[in-house]
Amino acid sequence: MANPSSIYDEMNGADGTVRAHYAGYQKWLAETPPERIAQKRAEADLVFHRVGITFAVYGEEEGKERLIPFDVVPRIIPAQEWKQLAAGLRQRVKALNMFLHDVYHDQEIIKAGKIPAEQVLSNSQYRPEMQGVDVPGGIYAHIAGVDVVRAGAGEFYVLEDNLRVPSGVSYMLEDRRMMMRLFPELFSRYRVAPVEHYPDMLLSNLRAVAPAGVLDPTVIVLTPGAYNSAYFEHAFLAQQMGVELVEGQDLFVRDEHLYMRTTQGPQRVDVIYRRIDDDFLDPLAFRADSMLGVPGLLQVYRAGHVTLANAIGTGVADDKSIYPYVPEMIRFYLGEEPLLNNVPTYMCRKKEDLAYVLAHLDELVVKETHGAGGYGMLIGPRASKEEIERFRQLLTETPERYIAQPTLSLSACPTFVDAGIAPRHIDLRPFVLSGKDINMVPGGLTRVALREGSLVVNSSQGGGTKDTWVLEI
Amino acid sequence: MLLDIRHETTLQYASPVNYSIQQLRLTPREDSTQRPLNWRVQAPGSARRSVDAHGNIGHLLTLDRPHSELSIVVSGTVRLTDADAWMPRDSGTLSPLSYLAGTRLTEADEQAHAMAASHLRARRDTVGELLDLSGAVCGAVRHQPDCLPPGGASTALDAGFGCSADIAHAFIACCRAAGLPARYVSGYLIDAAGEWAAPHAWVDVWLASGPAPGGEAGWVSVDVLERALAGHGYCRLAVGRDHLDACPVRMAGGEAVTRTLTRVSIHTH
Repeated sequence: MANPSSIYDEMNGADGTVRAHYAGYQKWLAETPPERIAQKRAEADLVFHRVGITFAVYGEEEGKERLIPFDVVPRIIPAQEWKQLAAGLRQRVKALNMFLHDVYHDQEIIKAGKIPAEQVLSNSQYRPEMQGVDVPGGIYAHIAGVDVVRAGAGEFYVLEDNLRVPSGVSYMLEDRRMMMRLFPELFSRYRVAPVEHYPDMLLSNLRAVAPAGVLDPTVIVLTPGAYNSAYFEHAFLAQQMGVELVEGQDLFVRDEHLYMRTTQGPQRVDVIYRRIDDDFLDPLAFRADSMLGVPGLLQVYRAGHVTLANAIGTGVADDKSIYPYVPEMIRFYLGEEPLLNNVPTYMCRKKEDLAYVLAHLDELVVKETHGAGGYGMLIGPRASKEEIERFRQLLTETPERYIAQPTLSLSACPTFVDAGIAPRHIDLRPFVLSGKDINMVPGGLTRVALREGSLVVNSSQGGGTKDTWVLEI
Repeated sequence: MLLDIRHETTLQYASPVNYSIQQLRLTPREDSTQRPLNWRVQAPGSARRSVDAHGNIGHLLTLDRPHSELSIVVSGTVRLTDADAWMPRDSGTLSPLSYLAGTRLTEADEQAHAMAASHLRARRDTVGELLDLSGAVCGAVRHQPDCLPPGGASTALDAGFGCSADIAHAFIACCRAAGLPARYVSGYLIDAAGEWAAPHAWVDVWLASGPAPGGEAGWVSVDVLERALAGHGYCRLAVGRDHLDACPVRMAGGEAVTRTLTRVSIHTH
């Protein structure tokens, strides 16, 4: 486990001095009466409750919604550091999209022996339905939410590439709005790169991947409905982009085209920003019991008459069993060395890796290869004896379902807690948009593990959020 | 052999609906064992033809005017090759490895793993082993006609009975548990005299050493229910990972169909 003194603190250097990019904030903090900050924090809670930014926690009492805690200390990233990070993200997402195109076409990376065929083609996230299908611009992951952490002496590592329906961008936007409202004076002290144009960027990105020949595409947001934990975000993004928010029952297929029911009659739909998992998209093709999707959608899609963002079958690239191969993808498709680090990963399906993992369960993080959201994972150093024994059994029974990684000492950022301000572990989810080009707004969503010492930042596991400032100079 | 097939499906709804959509897989596949000729679909509304990733020829039917009954007639002539029909070769774009991953209907439970371990272990005479496994699956799952929709491999193994689709699912689960790619086949079983045909389900298994030891890798077609190789007298409509990928008429779960009538008539010449 990480020695607390070796944890990289975003604000304070190891020698006790404040890092240059936090100096202005530190000064402001010293000058500002604590009562004023306390009052602003209460105001933030009130406003967030009023606008209704809540999320449902799976496994808790049904229908119970919780506010994601917002912390008023920003996470500040210097311009130069972001520049390097952004270049690494661009490179990574570009290679991941090329990998997806390759997997669903000629499978050159498999033929070249860089990734075992079985790893890809027998993966439950591989969708045979996509084999040989051409998608506009060869783009599969239009919206990628890449989880990045800082560890050790401050270098960045990619934890996972979320290429299915990554969420959280509405918190990035709302957190910024809140900070500007609460502390306008800070924004005159710092030149913070704007993020407010994300919905415009998303919309023009979605329009750019419309089916060939469609000049003025109709874009919609497809939501599973109000019971989904991210429904607020679906509604928010649709409203911010100025497009319709629809559910599957509002759509139908006729003659190999997709239509939306409107008061003026059926209207053709060209691009769907879908926030529904593959399994539920089309009951005629995937799960037959799905009431959330649109029967016949797959055939319309395969015929090239509608674009889905993200494409069907992107899970085969962000699956945790494929993750260890991403650096190899970057070398194979781009002929470049990866700019961002991967976390060293033990693949439990390999005998020697499994043996190592079983012998070091108390030091490692064990994750399900298909899991998401921080459910079903073991954090060795924090786990009880019973938890470790439970995972030992799971790993012995179905090793192929798990990977393991060393516990990273995630960087920490000063955060308001009951006792005042104290360091708490954070990560960063930048949102990378791929269409004609690769675009992103500077920064992303910073999540913070509010419990002391906790490394789990997922909102479903008691994490909070912070505004992320990328400095312009 | 030339075979004329006429497949009539009538769907009856509890009350009139304004819209309906079905995925048909009622046109025989084209492969080394058969070749469809003059195939046609007669149904109200629109029927859009497409070939899916498994190489199946499908039609997406949409009808968006009020109706309480829907009649679909699919007919045509198929040329069946008798020689080695139990070793189908097709120019599919999918790797056999994509038929290794379990689906909800073919998830292997403990029983499937145990059966796979005891019947597919030797790997010497693999075709023989597949027939042996067929016997074991039929012993574990008593055949019960007409229990659609299928509940899946583990449901059938638990219950001890199931429809032909679930017997195929149980067999597929065992094959995949042993690392053998296996795919579900739907089609018609034609009687020896060539007088009648019935919708049927069987399984293709990918053998790395081929149907004959030391041979080239390929699919071997097994009729689990008949505990025999599926050679002469089988017409292949569609293949897939399970029943849902390959069934002749697929409807969305929410469809309020109260009755489905199917009639297949054939003529050989």
